[in-house]
Amino acid sequence: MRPRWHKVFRDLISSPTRTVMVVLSISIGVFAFGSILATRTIITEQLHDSYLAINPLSATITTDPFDDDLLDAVRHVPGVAQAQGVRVVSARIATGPQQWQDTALYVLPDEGWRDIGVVKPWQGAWPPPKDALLVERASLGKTKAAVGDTVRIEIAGQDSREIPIAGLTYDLSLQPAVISGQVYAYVSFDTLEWLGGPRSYNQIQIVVGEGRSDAAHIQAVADAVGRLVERSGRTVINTDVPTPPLQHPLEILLPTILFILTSLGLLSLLISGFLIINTISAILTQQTRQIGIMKAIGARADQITGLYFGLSAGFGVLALLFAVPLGVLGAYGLTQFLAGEFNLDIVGFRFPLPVLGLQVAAALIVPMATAALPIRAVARRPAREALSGETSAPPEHSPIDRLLSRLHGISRPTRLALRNTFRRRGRLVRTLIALALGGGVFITVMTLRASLFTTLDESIASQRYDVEVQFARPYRDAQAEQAVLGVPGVTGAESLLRGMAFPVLADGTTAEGLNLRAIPANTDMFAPRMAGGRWLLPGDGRAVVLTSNYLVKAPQTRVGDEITLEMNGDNERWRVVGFIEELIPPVSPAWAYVTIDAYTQALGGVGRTDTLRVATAGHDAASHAAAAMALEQRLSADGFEVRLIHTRTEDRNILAERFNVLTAVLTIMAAIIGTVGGLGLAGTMSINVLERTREIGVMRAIGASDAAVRQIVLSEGLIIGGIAWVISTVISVPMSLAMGYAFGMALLNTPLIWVYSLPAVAMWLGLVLLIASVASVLPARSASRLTVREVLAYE
Amino acid sequence: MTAASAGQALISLHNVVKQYETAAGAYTALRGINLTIDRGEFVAIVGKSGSGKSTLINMITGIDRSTSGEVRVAGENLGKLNEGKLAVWRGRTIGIIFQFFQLLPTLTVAENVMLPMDFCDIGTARERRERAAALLARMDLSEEQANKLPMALSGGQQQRVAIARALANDPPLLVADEPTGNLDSRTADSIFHLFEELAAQGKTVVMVTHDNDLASRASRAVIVADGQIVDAPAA
Repeated sequence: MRPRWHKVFRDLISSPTRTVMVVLSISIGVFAFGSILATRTIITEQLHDSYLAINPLSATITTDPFDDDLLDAVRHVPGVAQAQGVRVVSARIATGPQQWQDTALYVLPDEGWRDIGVVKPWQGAWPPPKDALLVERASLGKTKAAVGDTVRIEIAGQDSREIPIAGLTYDLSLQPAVISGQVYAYVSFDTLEWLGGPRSYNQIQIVVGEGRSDAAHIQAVADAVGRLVERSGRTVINTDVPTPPLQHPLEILLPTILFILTSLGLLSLLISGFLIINTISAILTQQTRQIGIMKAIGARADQITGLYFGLSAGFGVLALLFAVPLGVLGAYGLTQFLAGEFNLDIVGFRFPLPVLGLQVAAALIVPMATAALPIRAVARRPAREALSGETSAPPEHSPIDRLLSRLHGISRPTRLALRNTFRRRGRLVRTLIALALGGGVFITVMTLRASLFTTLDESIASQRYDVEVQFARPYRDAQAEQAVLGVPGVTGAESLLRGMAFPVLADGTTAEGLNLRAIPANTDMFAPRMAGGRWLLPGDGRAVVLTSNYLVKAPQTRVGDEITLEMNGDNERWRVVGFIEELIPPVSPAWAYVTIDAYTQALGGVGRTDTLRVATAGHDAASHAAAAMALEQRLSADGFEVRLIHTRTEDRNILAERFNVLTAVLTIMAAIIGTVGGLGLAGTMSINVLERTREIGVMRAIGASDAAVRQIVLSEGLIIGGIAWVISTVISVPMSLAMGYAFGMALLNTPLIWVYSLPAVAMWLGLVLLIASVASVLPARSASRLTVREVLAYE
Repeated sequence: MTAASAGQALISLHNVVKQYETAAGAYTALRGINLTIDRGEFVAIVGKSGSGKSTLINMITGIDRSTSGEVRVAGENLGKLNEGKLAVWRGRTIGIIFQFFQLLPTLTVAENVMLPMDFCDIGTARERRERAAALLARMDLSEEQANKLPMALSGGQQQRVAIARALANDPPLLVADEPTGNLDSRTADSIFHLFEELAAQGKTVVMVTHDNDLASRASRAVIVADGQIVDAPAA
């Protein structure tokens, strides 16, 4: 090896602490960046590929019960390549005494395998045995049972039955249970009949032969199927064409999550860049005379540049030794975590080579690119200047110095610490940027977390009931209310009707169904958060209020517009009078609210109810559970057929489960970025102390005690930490506002209720002061331990 | 001094002026220097601190540029060379020895000697190693010492390493700035003796010193005071 490269190598190892800090800083940046990018690549590819592998449907047509004859005819419709009949039944599974879990019960063919949206056996029996059920693997946890256990299941309007869970399936065609909050179970037609269900299909799923990614073509084929269904004397209740086609329901959410994660990964890389500039600049300052000597013995500017680029690249290569294996581990962990949440199997985890290439490039280019300016400046410095040890312009008497001179009551060491802080402004600015960005992201993420849960709590709080009881069929409202009001602890009850409403499009087809609630206009059980327009008023007539996620599918809809809704086969015109914000993922159907008077006027059923909203004296989880149990017992005893009882606590838990995943990932990212920022401060403080070793020696020679030296260095660290904290606090406001808006719109289709996390601000102050103290005390201790002779001889 | 090289001017300075801009105003370090040094000469530049002698050798080595006047060394007009060409020229033409040795602390003694050859792309790696070993042996430094870091050596030994480094590219000119200023008198004497030997072998040696006794042992002494040559016997 040439002697010059020996120098580079020895410079790398001559100051282990400095090297470790720079290497750690680059490693963390490259590791975070690589992990996220690899996860992004793997998850995106595998989710899409796995989804395509199950032969996803092109369209679903919901209609009246039908049999195989209609299916045979559908298969002959031009454009249809495959068609299958599907039966889905709403059910509930008992998860405890009087505790029920909402369940969607799917019928599988006798042989198990279906052609479209293939459901695969996962564990235990296959196909679904007689009088037993299979459960989708990701939703098993919600049943609070295991394979082999017997659970109690009840389909709407029928008696409950004990049924064993004979095995698990893997169904990628459905939203993961963690998002939907539902259990998915599979039975044969025989078992469904045994449970009291019908032996007929109610949905046609089709796959088109050509143009599988062409939504307009699919719609045309689905319409043709719809016309055929209508010619058979049945009513088309709904036609649904997933848009864009061939996309897993989660693919709509994935880009936002991954974009935010990638931005955070890049940010950590950027922050590590600032530490590299500081370190390389410090090395160059320290080695100015050496550079002069090298020039004096014949080194050209390009050779000096190459030497220090080599040093920067050396830091990068060392960083890669950590970043690559850590990146693989991180990508594996993050991929498995997200795959678990998305109910996705990662087939043959392989770290993407392009990402490895990007990691190598980032680890080498970031240090070289960030160090380029200081290296260039030093390499071009005339030999005489370099030999004399002149590093840069001499310190000026800055406005800060003048201000400090005028301030009284500040001790001399503190005054010196304040001057030192602002002495190397470039370095200070870079350290502040690194630390402030780290802090800004930390507070932003914590604010985002607080905002998510506040939005959740507000949304839950807007539902002013404690328990909702859904009956299997309508009952007289007075009779039902009387029954529940007799339950101890119940303070109020309100009757409403539920159903589905399908927006009728201009071409006469219907869009995705809306969950419909017909409620009293002057309801006490609902305090909606208005996003536009107004809430329902008594005597409103045909007025409808929609949840704002309706605008995802029909963005042109405005308050005052009239829309046609198909309810129970009748088309009625309704005027949109308002939009409300509710915590509903964009992939879930929107909700529509109408007054119960207008609804019964249009569709009949005056004085009937199929859903009761019940208020209780206690509002905590235990009170809710107790109330649900008491209501179930009373209503069963009184002969009411209950389909489902759910409490506000349960609703909150389902939604909180969704957010926990997200905030866990974000918190990890905040910790990584905070660490890089902390390393930046630690690096800067070591460099500052190292550069001032001679100055410290002089101070000690003229009588400064160890404590005074430590006080100066510690004060400097705390001042930098304090300034960074103030900047973090300021920048976190717009950052969290922007992120809250983006997150809310992407995940819930409504901006989050922004709640600035003051605990996070306090926590970051504590953290930053701790980092500053540790980062300052260690070099200060080393400096104060040196003898005066040693420091004065320091070169 | 060899017969072939004697009598040819290696260094010639004509009306060299050097001014520095300082916070206190312009400062003239050299005021119209005229100096000629022939090949094979051993010239001592003598003067008090601040007299301008270091500035003068900075002109000769191309480490600094004159404000006006012309500096010619080994046939090159240094004012016409850019920094890059100047560095290469300096590496091949001049060996510089500093008062404080200025060895790179993270390189071994042998690597310090090999470094100029590395920068000037002289010889193969093996040839560089062999030449560094030979030069160090000539400076009475053992192989064991060659593999140590400079800090492990005494001041006199470090200065010998610096001389070996100056000789690495076999330059015709050696320039030493107070090479004995940081050494005890016995070590200083041995180092000076080395310069005498090198001059005797045909190297041109220009040495800055404030030690009149040492200066008197050179073939010629140039006395500098207030930026001017006050006594420069003709070559």
